[in-house]
Amino acid sequence: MAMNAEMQAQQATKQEATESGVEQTRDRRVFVPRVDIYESGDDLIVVADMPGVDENNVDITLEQDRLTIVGRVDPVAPNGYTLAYAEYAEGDYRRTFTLSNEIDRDHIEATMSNGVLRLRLPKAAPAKARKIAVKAA
Amino acid sequence: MALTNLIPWRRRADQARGGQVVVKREEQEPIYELQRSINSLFDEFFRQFADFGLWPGEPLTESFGLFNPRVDVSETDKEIRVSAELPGMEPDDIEVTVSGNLLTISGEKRAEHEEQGEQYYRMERTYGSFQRTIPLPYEVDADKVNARYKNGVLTITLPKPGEAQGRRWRIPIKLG
Repeated sequence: MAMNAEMQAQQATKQEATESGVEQTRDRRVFVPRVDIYESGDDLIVVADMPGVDENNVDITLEQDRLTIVGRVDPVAPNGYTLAYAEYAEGDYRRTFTLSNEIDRDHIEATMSNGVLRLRLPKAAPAKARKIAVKAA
Repeated sequence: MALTNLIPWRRRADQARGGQVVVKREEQEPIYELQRSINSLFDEFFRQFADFGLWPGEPLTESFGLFNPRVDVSETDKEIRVSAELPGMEPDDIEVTVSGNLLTISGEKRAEHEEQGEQYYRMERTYGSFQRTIPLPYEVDADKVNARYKNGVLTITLPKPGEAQGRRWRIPIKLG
């Protein structure tokens, strides 16, 4: 079965998140992190680039079928610095995915290292692909 | 002037008859015609990138799926700080060199998963080797340069040489 519809994600690159249903409590810019989504064995793996975020500053919430990842960036620049030239701007990250019923919600694992978040979403047992043997009549 | 005169073939016919038509001179020259079609070819070519989601400021390499880190540069009176977003790398894979007034950051971001039987649904992250060279306003003592990699962000601090420090003085304005 094609699983393209399994996760519907917003179009993304390092762009500012335009709208969100959630009110911000911090006066920061919010970016959409770039993600890779692939299937490995019975797991669905989501890898998200969130430079500047450490493991204590990631929030992953699952509300009904909406999986939201939020990464907060602690300002790197100490006071007294003036920005001379900027290609990326510092800011938080947020992205929401829609999960299908095929995901085993109780066994989602997340790891964070070097600014990369890796989510492992195991498929629930009935969703695993089974091979049907064809018998001769 | 009748509206029909604006139709190009009518215009040409009119001209043959010696009629007065306002046309730009270059429109009649074959060489300009050629230039115009080349220009539109270029426009079309670059419009394709716009369709792929290239917006101003995105390095071209990124739209081809190659990794190209972005840098921010900030400064104080005493030092320059260059930071680059390099998510998912190891410090050993990053090389920072200073020669004269050029700071170079290079390395390779590898795709870390190459297991068999993977099926991709979405691939937005980019990989590959990269090199960025940042010209500095003056020569920097390489021994005093400090580079730190944390949470996917590389931060390099370069102290300004003595003569460049605090190079700001106020000139008194006299009444008179």
